Amino acid sequence: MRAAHALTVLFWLQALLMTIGLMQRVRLWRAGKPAAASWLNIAAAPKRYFVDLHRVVARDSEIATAHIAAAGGAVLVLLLIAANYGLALYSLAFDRALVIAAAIMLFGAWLMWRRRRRPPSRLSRGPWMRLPLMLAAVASGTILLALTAHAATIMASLIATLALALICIGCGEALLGVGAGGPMKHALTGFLHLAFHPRPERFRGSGATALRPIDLQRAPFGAGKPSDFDWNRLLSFDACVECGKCEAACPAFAAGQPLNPKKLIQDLVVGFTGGSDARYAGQATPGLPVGNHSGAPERAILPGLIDERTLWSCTTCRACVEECPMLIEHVDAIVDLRRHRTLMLGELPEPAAACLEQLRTTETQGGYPLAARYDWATDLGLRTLHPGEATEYLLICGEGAYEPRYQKTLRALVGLLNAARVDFAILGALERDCGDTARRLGDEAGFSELAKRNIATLARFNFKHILTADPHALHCLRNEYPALGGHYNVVHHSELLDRLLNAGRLATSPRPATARITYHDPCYLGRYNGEYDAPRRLLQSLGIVVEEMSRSRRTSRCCGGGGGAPLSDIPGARRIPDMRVDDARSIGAEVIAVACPGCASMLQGVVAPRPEIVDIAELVAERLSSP
Amino acid sequence: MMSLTDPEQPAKIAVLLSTRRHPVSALPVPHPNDVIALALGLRLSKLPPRVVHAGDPRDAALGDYLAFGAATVEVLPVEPDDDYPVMLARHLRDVDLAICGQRAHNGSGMLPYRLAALLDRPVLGDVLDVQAGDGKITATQRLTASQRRKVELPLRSVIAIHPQAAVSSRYIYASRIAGRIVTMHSDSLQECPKHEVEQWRLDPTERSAVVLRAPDRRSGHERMLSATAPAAGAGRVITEGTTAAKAQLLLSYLREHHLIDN
Amino acid sequence: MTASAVRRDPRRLYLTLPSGVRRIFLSPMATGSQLQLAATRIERAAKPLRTTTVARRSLLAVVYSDHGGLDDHARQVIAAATLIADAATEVIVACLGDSNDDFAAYGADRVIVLSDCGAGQFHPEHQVQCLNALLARHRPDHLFFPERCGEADLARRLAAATRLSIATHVVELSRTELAVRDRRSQRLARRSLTRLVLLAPDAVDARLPFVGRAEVSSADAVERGASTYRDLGLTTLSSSSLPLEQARLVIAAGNGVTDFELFRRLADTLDASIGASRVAVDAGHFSRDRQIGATGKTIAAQGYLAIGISGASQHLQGIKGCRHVISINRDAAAAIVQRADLALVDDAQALMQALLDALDASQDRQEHAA
Repeated sequence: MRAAHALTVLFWLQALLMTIGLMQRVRLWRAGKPAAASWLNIAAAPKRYFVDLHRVVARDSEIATAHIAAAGGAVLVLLLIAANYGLALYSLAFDRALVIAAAIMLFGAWLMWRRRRRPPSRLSRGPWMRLPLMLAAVASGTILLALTAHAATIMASLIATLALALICIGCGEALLGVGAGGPMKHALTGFLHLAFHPRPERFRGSGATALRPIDLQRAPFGAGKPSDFDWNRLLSFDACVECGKCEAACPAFAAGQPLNPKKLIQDLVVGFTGGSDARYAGQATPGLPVGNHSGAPERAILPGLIDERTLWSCTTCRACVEECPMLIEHVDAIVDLRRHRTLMLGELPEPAAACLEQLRTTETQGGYPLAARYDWATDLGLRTLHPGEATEYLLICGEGAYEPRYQKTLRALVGLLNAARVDFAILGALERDCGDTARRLGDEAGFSELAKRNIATLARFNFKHILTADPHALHCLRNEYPALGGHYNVVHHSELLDRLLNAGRLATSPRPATARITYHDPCYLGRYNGEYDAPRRLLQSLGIVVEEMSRSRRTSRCCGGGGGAPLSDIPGARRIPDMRVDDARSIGAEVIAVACPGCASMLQGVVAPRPEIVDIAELVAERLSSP
Repeated sequence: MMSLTDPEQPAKIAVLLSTRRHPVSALPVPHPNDVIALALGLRLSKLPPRVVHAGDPRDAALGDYLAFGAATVEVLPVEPDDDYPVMLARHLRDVDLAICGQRAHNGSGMLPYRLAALLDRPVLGDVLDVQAGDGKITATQRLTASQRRKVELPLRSVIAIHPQAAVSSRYIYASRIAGRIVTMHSDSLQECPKHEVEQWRLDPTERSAVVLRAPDRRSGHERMLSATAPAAGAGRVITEGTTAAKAQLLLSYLREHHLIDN
Repeated sequence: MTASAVRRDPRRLYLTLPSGVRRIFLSPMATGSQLQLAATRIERAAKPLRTTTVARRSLLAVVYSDHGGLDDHARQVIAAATLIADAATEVIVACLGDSNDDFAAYGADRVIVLSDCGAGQFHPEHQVQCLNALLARHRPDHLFFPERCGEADLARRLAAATRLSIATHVVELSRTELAVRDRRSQRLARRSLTRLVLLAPDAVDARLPFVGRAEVSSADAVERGASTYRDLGLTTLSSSSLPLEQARLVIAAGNGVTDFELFRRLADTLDASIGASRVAVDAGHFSRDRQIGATGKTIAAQGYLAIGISGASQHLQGIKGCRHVISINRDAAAAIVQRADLALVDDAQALMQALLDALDASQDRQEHAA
């Protein structure tokens, strides 16, 4: 009986200490800005955990099993102890259930320990290495205690005492976690993060990738110090379990540029908790040794905590966000940091600043005349839309229209649209840049200005859909303009061509390709907009067998062209597009089919010899049967 | 380069700004030369300099100057036929150093000289850098791409900054919304004298300028030969010939177009 | 039977001289300047005086001398005056600073050398006063200046002091009107001639079919007072020390360059700033601040020498504003050949060496002649 009482006391003591610890942690998050959050959100957390989070975790079945066993077992153990000992029910039936629950937990701990013997490089060492042992201690302690809690023999008492000691070790770890930021904090922070997630639209289906506008009349903008982040973003950083899946997916990290998404998040944790990164036990940011950065909630993040080059290396490809089991939004954090640099300090790499200047003064990224955007089409007789006229599709070409190589793609596309007798028109000199590059570089003001002008222009015309071959324009117009008042149905050319082919409006003579063809998923079409299939279906109906690279679809490796990264051009050991072309070479591909002008430009910039880069529109046009 | 540091009597600096239409887009934008002049003015003085524009208070480009660091832009509203240097001179009577861009305003580059004549002060143009101290300034003037002259002149002068002056400027949106554009009201200004608007006639279409040259006295045959000969250096591709000959051709080309000195 | 006719290779390398005459290369060592000199000597012997009528009016051209001579821009300004002048108008040249040039060949009828107004002595008040004295004495209908630092400054000071009408950055000139480029519309704006005219470079062709009298006159002495300005001296920077964006001549290395030592020597001899394509920078041969292209620097040099560069579109974006593009590449089908004003198809190393040899040889010849 005594051991059981001891456990009751221990339970309530632990509960008290955990509560205090949690409140301390909450106080740290409250250094951030207030953000709307209702207590009711907590009710949403379980569904998000079992459905949305587990969808991510389940991709790695071995770890999924381990975690379900360990975490599931631990939660059961906790509930049973709370019921049986916390409420002092002291029921034998619960004790038996407890043994089973703890056994499951022990099994999970064992799986984790097995993995930790030769852990992948992306995992952090340090305190994380002892976690399986801690869990095992709690599990085994619980089993022993459940078996001996009511026994009366001396032996049993001794075992019970030992069991209590083991459980105490585990409790200590949990306390360390919540109070001092040790690994076990993730149980609480992860759960609360799900409840108060800054991007709740993620849980309502896909496509929650749009950045949100900010109040451009009230400085300060973006995040310059940790306390500038919303409190629930600080919570999101705290949920990181240092698994490193983001790091393993990041193209900039792989290229040896000074960006490590995991270290970035951990640095932000150091920022709002105060201290230095000396105890970081994962892989460092390339070129930036651990131990040189420190922070505090009211101290500027750059350059003392995070290096400037880290910030501008990001291509905003969202591979990190896609992989993260804790659903942390790394890209949002980077954009917030960039907004501060750009809007408050005007500090960004020179070529990026020049691009923003050109967008301000000429409404194009390259400083071109708007009237020249459609020079490539002067002989194609494109219809320019006038106010009052109607069309089904409004074709938006984007900045690629100024590049000679991509103009060939656009000509091919126009040829296809004409062959299929699609009713389409262009805006001609009224088309200005959509503002995507400005927004990703943190120039929210520049983006907002362009968007407002574009929305006002588009309001004068009558069209059903916007058609574009540029996924960046697609994302911007479809997902980000609605917040500013522009609602459009935007279609990517792969989707339209696929539909046209299916409907028999495009007569093609399918023939297998003479060269091996692979398809490169653009980040802004794939991860940002969930479109992986239409381009593949399209190629299949042409009789082309698409050889898949190992990193394709959701895990597609970025070409390096997004987020203004080619402008910032932060040096690394390799170049990102070179690595993507290597992916293609490794499967013997001779042609890389692309669906984005940015990808086309970046991959074409890789030094020959390399596979040929062809847009899917050109592949379709090649196979068009002459009438 | 640095501050005019007499704390008892800090120097009063004014920067004159103009705007233009962007040559590609025709949108109202700051003049790049004046952005540099503003950056130099900000760097020179611990106190924020006075920033003055003679023109239309509703000019959309003025907001960009706020972003480039001007805390306040004072606008003197002018009509097209106003002799605005006179207005500026009256407005800047109490200022010590007046800074403007070399090719600003209407591009003639006359403003700093007229202003200096009206204020009866020295003037120096094509300035790349200014250092100040002790009631005097030392300016580095650009004579040619590689030649520089250093000149010392009194603090109460007018200087015009060359577009290649090495000062960096940053566009900061936060500064833009924190800054103000202030219109100087006409009751605080006296009547501005008018000047004769210059009689310029604009060509109806774009045309290259015709080079003034002596009348061609060659025979028709000679003229036809030279007209049908490919122009020297226009898109020629030389594949034939020895390497030495090609090198000679290259050298001649460089000399002919004054790309090398000998 | 006829002796076999001399067969001339129609594809001989030729050069079009500034005079408009075409000269075929007979010997590989003939230099452009030698040919130019020969041509000039032939041409000059036959020129008549522009006018023999007594002058009732005058035009004044004001130019600084540079190392004892007048450069092309200065000669253009004088030529402008002579081409505008009618038979009863004389062209006076006020040469600021000493010069022993052949002013007759430049078309000048009267030459006034103001030795104490040279470019090396900065005394704007005195120089304006000297010009004022000339104005009062000769009352020229118009004064012509080259639009560049020294004369441009002087002309504007004179205009501000005297309130005479002035037109600056003039790109087109005729007897009755002048034209400047309107900055908004990029079209030409015309008006009648102002009293003071500042001519942009190359608005006038300095080649003249006549000569002037070149009568030497002296100016009324003007007392040299104290100056509010203190001239602290001139310095000359080496062109290669200027930042890439301001360099006049840029030489850039690409994939085709293997001998970098040779490349740098050539750059040094040409006094050209060094640039590089992205490939050469990535390979570690040059630092990133030398990279030219869309992701590097954008330059607008007068002359750009692309050696062993294929001309990827990102690189061509970086040289959009360059006036003269010369490429040396082994591949006649490289993209840069389309952009280049002069493309030499040859091995980069061999051509660089040949160019260096030619430069060294002409350097020796100059020193020998001097």
